Amino acid sequence: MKQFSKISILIFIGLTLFFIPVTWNLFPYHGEFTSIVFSAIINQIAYSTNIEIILSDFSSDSKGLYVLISVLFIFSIITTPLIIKIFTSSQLQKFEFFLKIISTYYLSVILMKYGFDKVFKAQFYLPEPNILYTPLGKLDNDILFWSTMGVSRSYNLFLGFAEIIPAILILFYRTRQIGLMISLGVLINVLAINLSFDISVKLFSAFLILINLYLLIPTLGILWNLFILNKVIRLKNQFNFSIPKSTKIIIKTIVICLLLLESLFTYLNRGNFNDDISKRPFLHGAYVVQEFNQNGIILNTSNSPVKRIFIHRDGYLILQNQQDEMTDYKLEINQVKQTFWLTDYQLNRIEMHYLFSKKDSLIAISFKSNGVISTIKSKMLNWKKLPVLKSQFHWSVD
Amino acid sequence: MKTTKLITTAFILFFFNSFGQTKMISHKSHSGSNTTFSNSIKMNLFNIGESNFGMAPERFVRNSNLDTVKLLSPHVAVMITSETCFREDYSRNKSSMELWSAGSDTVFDHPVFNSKNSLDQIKTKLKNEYYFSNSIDNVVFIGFEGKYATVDTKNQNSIETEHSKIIEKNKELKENKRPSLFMLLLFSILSILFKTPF
Repeated sequence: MKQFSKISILIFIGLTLFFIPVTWNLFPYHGEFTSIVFSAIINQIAYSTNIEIILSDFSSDSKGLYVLISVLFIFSIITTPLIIKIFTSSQLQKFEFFLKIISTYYLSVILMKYGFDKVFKAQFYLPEPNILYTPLGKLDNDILFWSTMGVSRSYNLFLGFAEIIPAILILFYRTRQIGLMISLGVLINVLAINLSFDISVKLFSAFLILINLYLLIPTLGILWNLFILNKVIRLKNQFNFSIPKSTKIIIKTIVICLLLLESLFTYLNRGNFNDDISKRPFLHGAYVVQEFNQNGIILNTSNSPVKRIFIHRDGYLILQNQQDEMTDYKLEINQVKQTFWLTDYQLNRIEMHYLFSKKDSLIAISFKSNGVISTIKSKMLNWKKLPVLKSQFHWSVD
Repeated sequence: MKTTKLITTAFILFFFNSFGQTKMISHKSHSGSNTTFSNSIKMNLFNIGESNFGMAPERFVRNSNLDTVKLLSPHVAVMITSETCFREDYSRNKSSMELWSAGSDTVFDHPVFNSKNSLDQIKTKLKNEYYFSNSIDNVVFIGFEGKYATVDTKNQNSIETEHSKIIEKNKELKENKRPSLFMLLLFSILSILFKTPF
């Protein structure tokens, strides 16, 4: 029974880390590969079980990913007796050894990727102006957490290095166990955050904990003996394979360089090592409405249906009304014709004309809707001066 | 020569995509609601398909290169633009292709490309007010210093030939940028790993 569980877990971890479609810079076709292999099976299962799969890309916490993981789990259990029958004990040991190596490097590169994303302030990016001007109570837990993290560079550095340091430690045999213990703490915290703030990376973070525990089991046994049973047991050498030292060094150096390249690819490619100060697009920012003109009738700011206008860095125009409700549109800017093309979620397109005065930071937007010509005059707000973005630190309160 | 219709797309200077973060965070970051999120994932709208697993969003600007500007008369100019982006866009779909289309375009009474502005004024305006991805000093300006560029059939053909050359050049550059070498290396290393324990 013990061997059955062990082999089942081995197969499950091996298959899952191979098929979970994480975004790789050096292997961008991972997602497509998973889709090619599993799309038909997953869709058939979903159809038979009345599960409506909307996202077919197996993205994080999608129903498709849950079904995929379930399929892999069942497949692992079904194939285990066959594997035990076919392969000898030494072959299974060798398989376990290789899987441990792959899992170790997989865990390391994932931690590195998330770690560098935080260090370079790209994962928890500076909140967009539309988020900064949304009343706190109107934000959902996940975006509130994401934005709160986004305002502190120093905490991002701390979190980033808390992931990068164990990622490096687990790459080397001598420091692997201590690295795995640190990474287990980090990953449990990540899962707790994802569960508590409803961030949709629950399944993947739980899987990373499973890998971490699988690699840490020998050490956990020793800790149990040491702290509970008061026995001292020496850790067995888990990777007792002998190859020439020079070959080992060369291979390991190349692998580590590849892992670092994977983690740093985007940043080296772009030369952007602090997303907070990277250039924002044309007209990006927040604008407060100063005048709303409908067919020549000027409404004052309190009667205007639009209170603020935001231009998001990913190409969205967002309108905030007097009740602080937001409406977002996909935005295309034509600088020659000075027009905005807005597209809503029903794919209706609206054309607006704009006039922007850089000197006065004023923008006038005019558009025609149901025969009514409206013009909105608004002024750019210095959103970077908001209290939440001010660098504040006090040792004492008085 | 292409019609001026293209100009409506030729100067869409910013079109961002991002993947990474989570789909939900990506959607909520631009104040998208839960209702519009459902619509977005059902219809795969905008850039929703490119977010995943909470990693950093990768923003790459699909920006335009201004290659050549030819002034044909005081009010008419031909611009030759090409598309560039910082990284290969693997997730490009048809709708995003329609949003941006590079090529040669005729512009009439353009606020910058007209005979009233000197070449230095034009370059200054382009540097300060426009966001082309290439250096403005590398743009070829023809017909701005005295003699206008001609617009005969031969000239038109040469513009189109020039444009095709630019497109070809960009394609070659893009192909060179593909990380195929890295992938080969990665596969080689993995295959060695499977055979050579350490």
